[in-house]
Amino acid sequence: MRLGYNIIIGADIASHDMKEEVLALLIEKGYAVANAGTSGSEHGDFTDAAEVVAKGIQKGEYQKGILLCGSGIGAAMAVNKFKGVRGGLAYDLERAVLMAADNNTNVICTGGWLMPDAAYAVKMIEAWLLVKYTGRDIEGMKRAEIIENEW
Amino acid sequence: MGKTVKIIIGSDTSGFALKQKVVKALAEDGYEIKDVGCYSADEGYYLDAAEPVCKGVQSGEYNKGILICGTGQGMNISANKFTGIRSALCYDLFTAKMSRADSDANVLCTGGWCVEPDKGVELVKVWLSSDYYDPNNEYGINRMKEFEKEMRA
Repeated sequence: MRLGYNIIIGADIASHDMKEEVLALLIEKGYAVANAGTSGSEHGDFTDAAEVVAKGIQKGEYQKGILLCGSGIGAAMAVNKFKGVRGGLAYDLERAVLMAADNNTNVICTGGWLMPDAAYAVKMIEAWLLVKYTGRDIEGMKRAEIIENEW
Repeated sequence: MGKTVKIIIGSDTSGFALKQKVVKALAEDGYEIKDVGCYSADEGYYLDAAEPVCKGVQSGEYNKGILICGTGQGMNISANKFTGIRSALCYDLFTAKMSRADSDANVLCTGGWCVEPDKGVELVKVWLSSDYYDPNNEYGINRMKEFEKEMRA
């Protein structure tokens, strides 16, 4: 288990093939990654993947989640509907690192249509996994909890 | 289409400059636009903009919301926590268009650090003038409504 994280990855139909490649590459590198298993080459909705990934994190079974859909936008919409889950969206290293440091994200969403290849997606995911949250936005975390419960 | 849409917009300090440009450009195009701040580049927290914008769209008082911070990331996470808000984080015209066509996004987030001002204005205009291809993604949109109910159960 690299970096001490249990990780779960899911995709929709559009990014199923890339997800398979990303999963294989991460496992090869020594990461503990489970497959949400909601997609195939002929089926898969981003919401089904988001639900499995989000609930895995809520239960504490996994600390980090990865979601791929066509653009990543739907995945980021759906996964943030779960309490305690903070899903950021990134297509490059800069944004991936910033959302780890600043936004306390525990899920990274990206778009298979917009990634050059699986190797780049893995590089971005690794950068995101390596960078720790600064802990700075204490007020934001409190207010996010209020929004989750009341709005 | 377009000009009858009521828009509510907000930013933090990092998104302030782009927000000002967007407000000006949309007003020139004849849009009715409510600016909830921040009102200077010196002071403004992202949730002080995200909360009124999302509440405004949630209540139906406004049709569309726009949120701008440094990367758009904090805005997008918090906006999607609101019931009935489908928020999209976009940095380019393709995702701006797709977020409307495919996911019927009612809030747009973008980042003042991430897009050039002119491109940011263009992406907002493209997003506002793009329609949802009903019922392109009925399954996913209904599932998200279920998740929202579950979150507050």
